[in-house]
Amino acid sequence: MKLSKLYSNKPECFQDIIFESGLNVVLAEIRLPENKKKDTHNLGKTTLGHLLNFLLLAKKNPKFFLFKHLDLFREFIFFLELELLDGSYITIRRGVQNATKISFKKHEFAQQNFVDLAEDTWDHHDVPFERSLSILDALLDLRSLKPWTFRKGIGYQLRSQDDYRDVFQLRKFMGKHADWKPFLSHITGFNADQITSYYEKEKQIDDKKKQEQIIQNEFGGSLEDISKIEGIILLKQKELEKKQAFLDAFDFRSQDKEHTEQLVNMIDERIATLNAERYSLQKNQKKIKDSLKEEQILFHPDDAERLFKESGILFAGQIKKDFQQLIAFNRAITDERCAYLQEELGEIDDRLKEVNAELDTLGKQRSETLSFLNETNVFNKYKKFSNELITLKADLSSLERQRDSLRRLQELRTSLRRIKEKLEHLQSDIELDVEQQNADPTCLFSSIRLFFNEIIEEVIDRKALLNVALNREGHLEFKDEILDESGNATSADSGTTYKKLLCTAFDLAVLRAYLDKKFPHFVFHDGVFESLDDRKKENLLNVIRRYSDLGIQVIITLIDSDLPPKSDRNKEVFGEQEIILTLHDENEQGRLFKMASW
Amino acid sequence: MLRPTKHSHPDRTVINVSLLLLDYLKKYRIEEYGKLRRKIKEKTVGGDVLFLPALSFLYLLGLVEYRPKTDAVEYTGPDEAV
Amino acid sequence: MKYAYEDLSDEQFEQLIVFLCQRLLGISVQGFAKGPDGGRDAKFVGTAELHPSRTAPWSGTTIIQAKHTNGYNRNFSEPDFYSVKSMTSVLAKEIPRIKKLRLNKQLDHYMLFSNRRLAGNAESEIRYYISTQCNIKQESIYLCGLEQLENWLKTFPDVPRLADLDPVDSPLIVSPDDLSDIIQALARQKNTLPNIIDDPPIQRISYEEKNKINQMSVEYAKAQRKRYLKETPIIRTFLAAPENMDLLRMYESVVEEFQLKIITKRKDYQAFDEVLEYLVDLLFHRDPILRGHKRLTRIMLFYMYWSCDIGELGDAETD
Repeated sequence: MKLSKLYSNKPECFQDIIFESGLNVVLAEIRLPENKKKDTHNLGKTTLGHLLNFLLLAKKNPKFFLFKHLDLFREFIFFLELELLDGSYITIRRGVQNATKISFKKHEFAQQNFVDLAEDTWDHHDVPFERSLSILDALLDLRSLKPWTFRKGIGYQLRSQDDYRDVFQLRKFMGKHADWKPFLSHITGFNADQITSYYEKEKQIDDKKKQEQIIQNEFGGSLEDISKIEGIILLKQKELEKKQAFLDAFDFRSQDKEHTEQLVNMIDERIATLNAERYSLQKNQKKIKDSLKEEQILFHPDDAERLFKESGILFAGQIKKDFQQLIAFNRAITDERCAYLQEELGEIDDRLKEVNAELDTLGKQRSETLSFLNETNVFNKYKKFSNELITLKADLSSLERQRDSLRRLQELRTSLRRIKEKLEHLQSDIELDVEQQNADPTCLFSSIRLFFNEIIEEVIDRKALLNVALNREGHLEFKDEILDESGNATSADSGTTYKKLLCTAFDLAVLRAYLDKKFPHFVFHDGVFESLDDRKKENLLNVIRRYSDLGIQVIITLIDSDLPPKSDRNKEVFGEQEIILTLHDENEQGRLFKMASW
Repeated sequence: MLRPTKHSHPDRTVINVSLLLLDYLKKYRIEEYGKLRRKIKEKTVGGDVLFLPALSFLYLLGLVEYRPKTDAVEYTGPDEAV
Repeated sequence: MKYAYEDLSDEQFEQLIVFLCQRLLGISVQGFAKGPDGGRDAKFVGTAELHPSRTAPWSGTTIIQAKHTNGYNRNFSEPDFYSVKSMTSVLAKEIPRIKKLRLNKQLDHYMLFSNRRLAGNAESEIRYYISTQCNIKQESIYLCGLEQLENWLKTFPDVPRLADLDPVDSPLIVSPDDLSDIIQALARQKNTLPNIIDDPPIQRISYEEKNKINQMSVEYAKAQRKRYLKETPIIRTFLAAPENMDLLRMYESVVEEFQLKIITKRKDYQAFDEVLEYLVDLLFHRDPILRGHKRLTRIMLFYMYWSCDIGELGDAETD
């Protein structure tokens, strides 16, 4: 995925920006002498990055410049044209006024202008925000990011000024590590599932410990008492059942025949319903087991064929796909459904157990009900029993309450132990994975590492190290270090001096490692040449050009005072083609938005 | 498959489930496979059996596409009233 | 009729007769066992408790036979059961065996039970016939038909319970599993059945004729409806369930086949009930699964008829 064109419904205030597929330069020229000394110029080169982020469906934030100055931007509607992996295009339309309603249109050719496109010509018009995210995520098809959406990593493509403080942790990741570390480990080639579940397990342990404390506080008592209590309960329960059965029977027998018949009918109906349910459960169970066994498909090609033929007969002329496509569609849809099948199978098995148990009970009930015999002279017994029953029930319920809290405590402790064990296993798995990735020179992580070092070395002539290791809590730590001539880590100084460079290098290294995969292929770097000396600027520009040639779309912004030196006196540093936007400070026309600064 | 027979229940046919799917997808534009399937399962007895044929049928008519990245079904048909 | 005897298996019917005879003759009635010549008899040796009366009970060796039929509404004097001319009727085959037992002094009294109707004149005719053929005194022969059997079971209400009889109107729980088994069993049988009538028609038959074909006797139709109509919705629901699409296809092929075999040039006098009964009998004989689910098989066939999958092609009318 690359950027192709950015435009708005007000070209007089915001000129169309056409992106090239390689290097793109946004140049801000400071032409007025009184402005030369200023640090910030507000021409809008940084704003461009924010705007791209907005069109790539950033959440609506009232502090965002478009909403902060609603009076100025109310009428604006922006359009971003993206090139997809398969070479086709998609245009995203997002206005300021209804910023949570987004429209999409797929198309085959670049450089369209959809400002006046009729509503019903959009593929999806004014779709609510969450759905829009799903639609765009589906169409971008960046499967290398799975299970995350394209939004998760967008910060590495569009770093804002605040994102250059740390190579790995973007500003939006200021929250819990559990929110971003798994993702970062995923794109750097580690097993993210393990890391995700590691964080989950840690959270579970915390929760369970809290629960344990609560139970301890509300009910003292030790686990030793449990078997004694269980024993007493068992005895009392047996007694209760005996008496209850007698009373039920008594109740029952005092009913008239009509009642009995009604009862039988009710039981029969229930049995029939359950039978039907059991049947379809078993049928589904069999189907699922078959498809799991064969690791095969859930659809039957001959069924598909029948459907195809019938559709052809009944809907002649409306069929848009051929049979091969239908088969491919079915295959795509039913592939890799194993996990979901397993889950379904579990549900079915549970339900079947329930149904079978209930059927057993009903069967017994039915035969008892049908064959009930008259007993006589039970009235005295009845009175005695029902009195005893009341006492029994009261005893039992207090005992059961005690037992239940003890049991809960027991369960909690058992499951705590289990989770801790799992956590340890996970930790070893993660360690193993990290070791393997570190040791394997051909893996993704090693490639990123090498590219990263290559870039730094070329620019500042020092080696740089990307490092991933487990800390004492069992969490992954990502580190970046610049080494001195003898190969030792330097003081942190150079690290901060070159932080921006390190971020740039990391982003480029990752993009390069993913060049042939379903991954974004663009990056926007704001002010990359700042605070580098001329020599290093030149080196970095060479790197950037080389990466553009590899097929990465690099968009850089700079102020003319940060320009690298000309290598040839008669030649500008950047060609006409490469500069996609020139901003200047002479008047409003030089700004990204041709209006007074806000 | 498509044509109801003397013994079929009008609600439990591929055509009917297709219509349910179409209604839903036109409204929501895109939906995860699993969720879609659950919806249909809730709405019709035996809907889970008819789900795949119904989806295939809509696909044949060019009204839906499958998106592997998000494991979702997207509505790709026109927007005039059906 | 309180019980659907035709839906019992032969063994169940025998069991019922044993329990009944234990009341009539005595507790030591020995159950039905294969004799050396392959016939199945039950036996009682001693003095009977009640039969034919307390004051003059039988004493000696009583041989008991039970002849069960799957047929509904059959009677003793139908040629397949008793015919003086036929050598292959049920009774004709039994006569030599009884004779032999009599000769070997292994039979003093003879009882024959069947779930067929037994009219008064037929009773005396058949009794006389057995008596003369086998040399047994007429008063030592006892024939028991459907009506008498019903009376006995009223007298001894615990007997049907012991034999696990379900009353005709007892609720039947139709389970989809059974339906599935039955349809599959029917499908297995569909190609092996002979033509139920005769050759397929060469000419298209007229409407009038077609309607004549479906002469189902009023009484039979009513009885069938009373028993089975309430169960048809379950079958309808079952066949309509999408997960049973394969079974529905199977069902359709079965009815097609049956239709071919039934609706052919039928003789005018042949009532449709006979055809159905013949089909049922054939199916029970051929398939153990169907034999195990007699009632459900009948319901299934009734459903076929009711929803006009077999038989005439108009709408089945209710009255």
